[in-house]
Amino acid sequence: MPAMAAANSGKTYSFKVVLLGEGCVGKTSLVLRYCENKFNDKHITTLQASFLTKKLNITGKRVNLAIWDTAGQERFHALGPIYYRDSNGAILVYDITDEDSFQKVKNWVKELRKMLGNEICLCIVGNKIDLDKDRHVSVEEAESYAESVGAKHYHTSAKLNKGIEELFLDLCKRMMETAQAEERLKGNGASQSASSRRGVQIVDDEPQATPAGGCCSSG
Amino acid sequence: MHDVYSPNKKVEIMLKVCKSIYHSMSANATGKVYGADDFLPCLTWVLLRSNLVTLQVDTDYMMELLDPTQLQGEGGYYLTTLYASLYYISSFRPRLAARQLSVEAQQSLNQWHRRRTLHCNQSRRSKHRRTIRRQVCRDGSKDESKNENASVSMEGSQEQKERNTEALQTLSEETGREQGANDQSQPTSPTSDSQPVTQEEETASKQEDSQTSGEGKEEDHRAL
Repeated sequence: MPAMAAANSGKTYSFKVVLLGEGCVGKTSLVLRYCENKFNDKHITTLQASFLTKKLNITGKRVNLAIWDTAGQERFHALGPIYYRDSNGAILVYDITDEDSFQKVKNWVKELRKMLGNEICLCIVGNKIDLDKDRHVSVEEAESYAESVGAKHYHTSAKLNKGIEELFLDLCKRMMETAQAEERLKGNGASQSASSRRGVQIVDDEPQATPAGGCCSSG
Repeated sequence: MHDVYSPNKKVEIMLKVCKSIYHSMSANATGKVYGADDFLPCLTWVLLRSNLVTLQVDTDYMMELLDPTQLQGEGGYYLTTLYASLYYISSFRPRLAARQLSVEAQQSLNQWHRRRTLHCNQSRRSKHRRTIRRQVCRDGSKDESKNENASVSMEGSQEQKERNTEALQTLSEETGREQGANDQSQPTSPTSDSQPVTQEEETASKQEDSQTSGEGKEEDHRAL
């Protein structure tokens, strides 16, 4: 990652994006599709699909995306913070045919907002729209929820390669905006490291809050 | 891995090991591409089987001494995964109930973040790191060099565990149910106590593809 050092120059951005979501919702397929334009094909040159990078050029600015896949099974939930620390963006994937996976997304949103605040760009992604006839999460519900937590909602299909390009492009633009806003802020007062310690306070009633009913939304 | 001195070299070896794990995983199912959903359980299984005493030390060593720029690349990702896997093993029980990192772990991760972040004032997120070393000492008596340390921190974390358990008693029911459901569909790591051996056995029996590609795994151990 030689370009990482240039992250501050304003020319090249390096973003870390973490993929969260229950197992089997298609996180891996989604990112594979994006990075290699492949769906379940075998030729991955590097270390397979858990960690992928993508170089983009958005309005003349170079962007390096590092996409971190996570294990979505419930028992690995506690490992989340190890992965999402320091992320610029999070892609929260659910399966539109699986109501439960949407509930998991809500849990993740709550946790991320609590731990990382508003600096992280959240994308809520309803995957598998090719299975629309089996849909169990309504579009309205998902979109209004996303809006209520300041996230963007997308519909994708890794199988049909629908909506994925837009998702990542949009996320990149938002992360660039956030990064630029941060830079401006830093220009004003360089000594805002005090605010950077927000992640420190982690209270242990988080899990209690989590199942309490999907946040303030329709739940 | 323990034999080389430079953290970079260690990471290189770690990546090679990860690669051969992937290789072993796809030995039985050609064409399937694995993400973290599959990789983390397999890595955990390999670690449990490998009985590497020095692994925790080496992981910490890499995390402390690698150049911060490298922590963001592939090496950083797999180091994180390794850390996550070790954490998963070392905190099997309490974590299951808490569904989150222990306060102790979070604090030391934050300290690590403060020490080791490239642009401290730029990235304000919390980095969570560390502490496993203490918890691992707790259940792995193999790490004799740290026994003192372990006995001290054991009291602390025991207390904490109790507190956690109390607070989360209501929750644990629910988590247990979820866990049950998961275990039906997922091959690895059934609910067991934090004894690595027990987990190892159960996991081994459940994980077909890892078992059949045992040869590859043996190589992994040597490489490590």
